[in-house]
Amino acid sequence: MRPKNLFLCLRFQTISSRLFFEKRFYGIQKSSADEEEFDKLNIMPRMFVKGDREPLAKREALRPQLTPRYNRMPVDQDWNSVWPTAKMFNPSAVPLPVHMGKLKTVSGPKPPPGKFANPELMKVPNFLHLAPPAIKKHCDAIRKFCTPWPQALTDEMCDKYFPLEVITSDYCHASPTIREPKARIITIRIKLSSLDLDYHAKDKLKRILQHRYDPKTDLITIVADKCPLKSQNIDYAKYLLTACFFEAWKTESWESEKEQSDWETFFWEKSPSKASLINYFKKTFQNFNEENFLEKDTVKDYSKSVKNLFDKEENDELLEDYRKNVEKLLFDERL
Amino acid sequence: MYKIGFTKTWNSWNTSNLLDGLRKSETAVEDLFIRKFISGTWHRLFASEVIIKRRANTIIIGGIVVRSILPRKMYFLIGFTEELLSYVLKCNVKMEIQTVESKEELIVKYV
Amino acid sequence: MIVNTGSVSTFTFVSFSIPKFILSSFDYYYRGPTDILKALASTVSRDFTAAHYKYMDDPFLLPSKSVDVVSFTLFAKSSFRAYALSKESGRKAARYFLNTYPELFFRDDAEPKVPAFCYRELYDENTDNTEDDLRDCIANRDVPNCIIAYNNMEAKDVKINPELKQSLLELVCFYNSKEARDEEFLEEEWFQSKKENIVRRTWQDGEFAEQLFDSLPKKDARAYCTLIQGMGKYFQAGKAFKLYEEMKELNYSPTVAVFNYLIENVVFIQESGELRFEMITKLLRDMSQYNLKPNVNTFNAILFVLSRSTGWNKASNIALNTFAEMKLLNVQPSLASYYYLLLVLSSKNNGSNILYEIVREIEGKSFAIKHPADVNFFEYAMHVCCNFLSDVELGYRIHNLLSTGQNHKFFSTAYSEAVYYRNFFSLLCLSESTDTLMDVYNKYVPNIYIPEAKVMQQILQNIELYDTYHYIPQIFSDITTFQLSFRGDLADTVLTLIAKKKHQDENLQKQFVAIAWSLFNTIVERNSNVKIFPLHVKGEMYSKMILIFLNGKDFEKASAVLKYLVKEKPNDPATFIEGQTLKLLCDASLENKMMNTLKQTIDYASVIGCADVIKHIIENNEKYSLSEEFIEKFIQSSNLEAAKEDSSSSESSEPSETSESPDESSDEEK
Repeated sequence: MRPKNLFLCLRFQTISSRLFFEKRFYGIQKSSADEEEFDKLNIMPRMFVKGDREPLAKREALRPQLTPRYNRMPVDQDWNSVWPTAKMFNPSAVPLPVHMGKLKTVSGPKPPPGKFANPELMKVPNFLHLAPPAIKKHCDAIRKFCTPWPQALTDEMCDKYFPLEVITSDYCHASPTIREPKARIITIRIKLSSLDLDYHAKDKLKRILQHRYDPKTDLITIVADKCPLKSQNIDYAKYLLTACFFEAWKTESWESEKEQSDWETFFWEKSPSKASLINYFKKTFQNFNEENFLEKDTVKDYSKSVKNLFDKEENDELLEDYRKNVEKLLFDERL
Repeated sequence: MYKIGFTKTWNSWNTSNLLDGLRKSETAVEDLFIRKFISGTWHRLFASEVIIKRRANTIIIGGIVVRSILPRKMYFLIGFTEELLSYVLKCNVKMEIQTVESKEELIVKYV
Repeated sequence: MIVNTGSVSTFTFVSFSIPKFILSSFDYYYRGPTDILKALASTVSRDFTAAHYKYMDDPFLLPSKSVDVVSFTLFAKSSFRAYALSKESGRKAARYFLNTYPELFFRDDAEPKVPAFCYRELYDENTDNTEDDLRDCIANRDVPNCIIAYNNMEAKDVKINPELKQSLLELVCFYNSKEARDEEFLEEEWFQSKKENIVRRTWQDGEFAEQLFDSLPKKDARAYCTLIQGMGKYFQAGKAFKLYEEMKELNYSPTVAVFNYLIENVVFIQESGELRFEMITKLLRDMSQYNLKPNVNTFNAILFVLSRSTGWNKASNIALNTFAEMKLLNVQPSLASYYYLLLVLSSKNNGSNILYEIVREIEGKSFAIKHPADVNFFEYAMHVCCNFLSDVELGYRIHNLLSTGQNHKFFSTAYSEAVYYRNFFSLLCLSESTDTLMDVYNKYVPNIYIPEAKVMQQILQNIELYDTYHYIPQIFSDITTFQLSFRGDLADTVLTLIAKKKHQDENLQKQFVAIAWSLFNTIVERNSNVKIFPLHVKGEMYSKMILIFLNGKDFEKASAVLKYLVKEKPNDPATFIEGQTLKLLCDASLENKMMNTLKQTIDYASVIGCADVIKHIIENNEKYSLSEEFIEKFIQSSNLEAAKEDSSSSESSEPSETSESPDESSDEEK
């Protein structure tokens, strides 16, 4: 039943619209006949009948409109006062011939549409409130809030007196809430050299920190995101740093079990290289004095090149250096 | 064929659509709600699409409206829309509209 | 292998201390949370090309009709008012939905919460209220909820902290036990048609404030002070003074604010100025006994009383003495003090001269509001300046003062702002050249002020005086835009002005023709529409229009006016045109060889009984070298006895034949 009804309804509508059409276009010829007719039954809603009514505002108000206000603007006006904040583009307030959009017709490209009744211009963010003079004014206005950087405080002094760096992030979203989970993540940074450590503690701290220490820049970086709040994470990161620091100063009993494979660097003094060298010279020279021997430059040079070979990446230069030092030691050494 | 983002810009401007934006789905649904609300409240008045821009907790609704009702009534609708949407979305809502005499003024080309 | 590179046993804390020289070089500038925003806002000055930001910035939606108090015609309502109130009523409609269906608005993603966008709960008798509820209500200035919560708590014997009771008493006394006005909706107040300058008793007797006060177990000095201030604010003078006496008996010491309100209320206790002043003196003596120093509001209260007793001959002297006392005590007067002083003195002859001194004193200062009457100063000062002194220099000085800093906010209603500008423009119209006047006009019209019909009239008079007719097209287009054309006799004034003489500048004359033509068209349109009130236009106006068209050598338009009159208003004596104009029209139609119009003119002349028109033609016939025959026919066709008599007395004396067909003359033309 339903579809049929709908169909009927549709047909009825088309008929009635045709009726209106005829009336409007043939009204003049049929006018004499029209007077005799019954009052017409308006089946179509008024708003669907095209041209039947003039715009309401025109009919009722008869209201002459203001001209767009850019016509009244003086040439030397203060633009900052006309357009103080971010606002959608407004053709009646901008005294510029702006065009926006793209038109490609069959007859070829045409100039883009002008500023009136152009929704594209309303959509794009404009920077009319940030003209250079306006920015200059803003800067002048907030200058009084800025404190000059203390002259006495140089970069070196900063490193010395404020070694700890805390990095936090704030996020600004377009949303009703100002919360952002990522804002809790913080980073603290400190130079290893600014901590008061001896060789063992330094080495141990490096081992404790692992990847958090960057030997290239000598920076310790600790990222904390365990706690829900930023300040809690800062406290936590500081606690971690403190804990690592004190842990580094301790020497546990098991640390004595350190082997060559655990060495952070090559210790020639403790290496088999030294032992075999001493051994060799002991056998070669009767009056071998170990202490004097070790003081010699040649020995020191040799030990250095061995150490370099172990610690650094092997290359021709180092090998050449090693060869020279070995030669010196073996052939030039006269005890 | 529309080339949104090339020859025609987006109708919604917000940070949710950016990388790592928050409230993606909520924003989309809210925008849909706003558009439905506008099309119902400003019935047959909007000649352009509804442009929704968000800045911090302010929502700016823009568009081009046909001058088929009295300015007085339009002001009533502005006040009503701004206030009611503020209550619903708990954000400041602002309307920035322009008016045209008829919808035809927006047509830029005939195919 | 054992690695032993450091000793563990000794470790000392290194305390990081920042050297003093670094700390001392920091120069802190204290700033509050909104200080930066305020600083940025200070870079923006007033934009005179834009209306207030509550209006949508669009030519269609910007208001363009003036604030007018008396409104008779259909369009007289100010659109400033209509638009702002429409917007506010829309907002109120939305508020209604929130209050009626709060369950639809519970979804809330906002963080932190915005209380303004949330439903505010209303208590009833069954709610269990705690002290915290009451505290919240007081903080939100929610008087009705406070009263309900308090009553609930009393009924259920919940103990209430006396301190909380005191703050509740302060709240209800301040708001007179009524709901506080909603600061979200202020437009209605701003657009009140007349400023409500109520000085009458509005205190609610026996309402919650008094009940609460009576129920207090121990009434201390603060409670007394609060209630007296509340009563004083709403002018319940009798009770306030009674309480004050009680207070004195109990040996409680009142505050300065109490005395300020009591002094204001003297107006209601005593009738004559002398008695009032006596009572004030007594109160001031009491004040010094309590060791209280008067502040600016004390002096304002004294001046207020004096301004209400201007009949008393000593009032102005005492007002001046009060001001001297103020100076002596180094109390900075507020704008209200000057306003009252001006009120007291301007009632006397020559008293208004004090305005010069006042302006000299406060020139260049930016004021902050301190007293409710502060907002009356500028309106009244301009009124005095315009209507009593008529000194344009002073007017400029007052206006400059208004433009200083944020002083332009010192208007309580749109009405008083309009009155200020009306007086300012009237002053300028009377004493400035049109060029200067138009500079000011272009700055303030239409966004700050839309001139009323009366002011427009004055502007036109100024234009006439200085012979600056080139401004008329602009003024006229504004008159049309502001829909003032047919207010009063503005249209008539415009027409009189431009019909006065023939202008040399052809372009200008063309514009004048366009003005007259648009006025004529409006009249035709309005009078043909049944639904709108018809315009009653006098014949003088039509004749002026014809004159303008003839001056502009636009004969067709001139004849159109005549045609319209003949067709639509043939028998309306009010619309009859002057004979002089008809003569001119005849001349013009002869010159243009438009015999149709000539005939119509003569017909019309005969209808309205202007005999000398035909006489005029005949007299001048040589000029146009008309054939005798033609004149004869002409006279015959006009068929008027008077004309006949006239003609017989002149050269042609042939008896008239039977009238020929009226188409004769047009045939002739062909």
